[in-house]
Amino acid sequence: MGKKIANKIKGNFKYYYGTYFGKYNGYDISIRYDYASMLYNIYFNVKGSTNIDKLNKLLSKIDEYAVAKYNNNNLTITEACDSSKDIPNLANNILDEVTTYLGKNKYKNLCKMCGEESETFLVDIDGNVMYACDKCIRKTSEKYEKELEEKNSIKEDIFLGIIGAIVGCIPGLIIWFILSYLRIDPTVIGLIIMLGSAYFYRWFANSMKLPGLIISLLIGFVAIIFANEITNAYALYTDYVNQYNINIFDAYKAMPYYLGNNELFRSSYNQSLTLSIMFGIFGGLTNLGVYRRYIANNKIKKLEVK
Amino acid sequence: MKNIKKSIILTSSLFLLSGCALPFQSNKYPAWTTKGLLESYTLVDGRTVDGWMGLEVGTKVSAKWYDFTVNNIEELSEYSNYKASNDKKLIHATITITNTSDKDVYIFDGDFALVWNLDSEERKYVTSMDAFTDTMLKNETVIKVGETKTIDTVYEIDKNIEKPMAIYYYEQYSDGQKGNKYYIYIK
Repeated sequence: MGKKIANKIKGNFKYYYGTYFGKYNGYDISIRYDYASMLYNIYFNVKGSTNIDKLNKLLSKIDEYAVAKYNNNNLTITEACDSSKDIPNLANNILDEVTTYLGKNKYKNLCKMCGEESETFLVDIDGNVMYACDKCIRKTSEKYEKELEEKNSIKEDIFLGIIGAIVGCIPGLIIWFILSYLRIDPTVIGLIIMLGSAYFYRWFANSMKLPGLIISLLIGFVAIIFANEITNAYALYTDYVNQYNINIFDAYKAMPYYLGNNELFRSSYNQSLTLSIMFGIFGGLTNLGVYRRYIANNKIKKLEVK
Repeated sequence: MKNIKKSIILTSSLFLLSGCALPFQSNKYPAWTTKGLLESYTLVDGRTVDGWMGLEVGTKVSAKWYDFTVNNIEELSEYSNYKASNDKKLIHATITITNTSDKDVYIFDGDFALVWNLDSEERKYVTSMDAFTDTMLKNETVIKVGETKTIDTVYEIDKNIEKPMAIYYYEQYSDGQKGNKYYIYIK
């Protein structure tokens, strides 16, 4: 859908991460649709006169709901638009008018990163797409290489990391069991378990690279599943201990039978497992955050825009 | 690269170890022994009926008129020169019965059936084979007051029938009133 819309906009526009990028009449342009306010914005990085009254008059002739704002070398045109499908029809007129105005009034196209007038290229910096000049691309690339070298020099002890992640899950598991003993829903502790697995992995392994991220996530989720099994086995045990000669291990062994034959137990088990896994996924963001500290960020990649 | 290999090996080992706990779990009927009669109630005449009890092999069961113990259970292909037919197996049980009532009691060939599909509403069962040894359960075996007898029961069942099974005894009064059920689980 985004690509189809991009093809209909003048100036060979391309669609990346919800935004349309293109060059038209020598100006770098990005267009983004806001579904909440049903508006779309056209962004320029240009340097020139701060008085844009004439431009606004021109725009009002095309569409009374089109407005231009100019601040800190950012020129933004906003226009009402019921659907993103209408962007090409509306924007093509505006682009002609605005770029002609900018050209006539000697507005200079600028690099988004350094704000200097220079030839620009569309680049992707860790999912952030923008127009940047060659100098900025080179600088960012060099910075990335340096950071990569630095991060790679930090050794990661995976074995100790595994021990650390297991140890890190223990406080969460203890809190989990205490809460379930007190008959308080413990599923939120999935967050703490993941937090423990991430920080203790990093502490013991001295770093967290991709294997560390995977291992700490796996250990965290295994711990959550384990905790859920034990608490459900305990619930089963307390339900039946007055009638049968059983211990908690007997209840644990019989869990698949009760999951298959007891609807109440099955729904309670599934609910606690789903909730705890969901909290675990939120907690997993911590692992991702820790991991990102030990990898080089801002990898720059030129995108092809003809 | 070395680190990645190491982490893959360690992660797999972790999974294998956690997987080791799984064989402990089973989706078969758990066949837990009970702490007494469950679901029973007392009639106006004082008789306790409709209850059930799960027990282990070797445990003495105190039923209405006698105590009995299933001493041991074994799975065989041949018993006393009788060979199980193709795709069948024999289950042999030894049961000791003591008459605890003040009258002689009769044991019937339909008593002490072998039941399986314990979690099903319609449990399947088979009674002991017709006696072909002196010690096997015969119809209307008499046990006198205070007497203790040990009998053998032999069941021929399909080879593919799986545990848990149970030796089953159901009390039945002479007026047709049914009493309690006893399951001696074979796990």
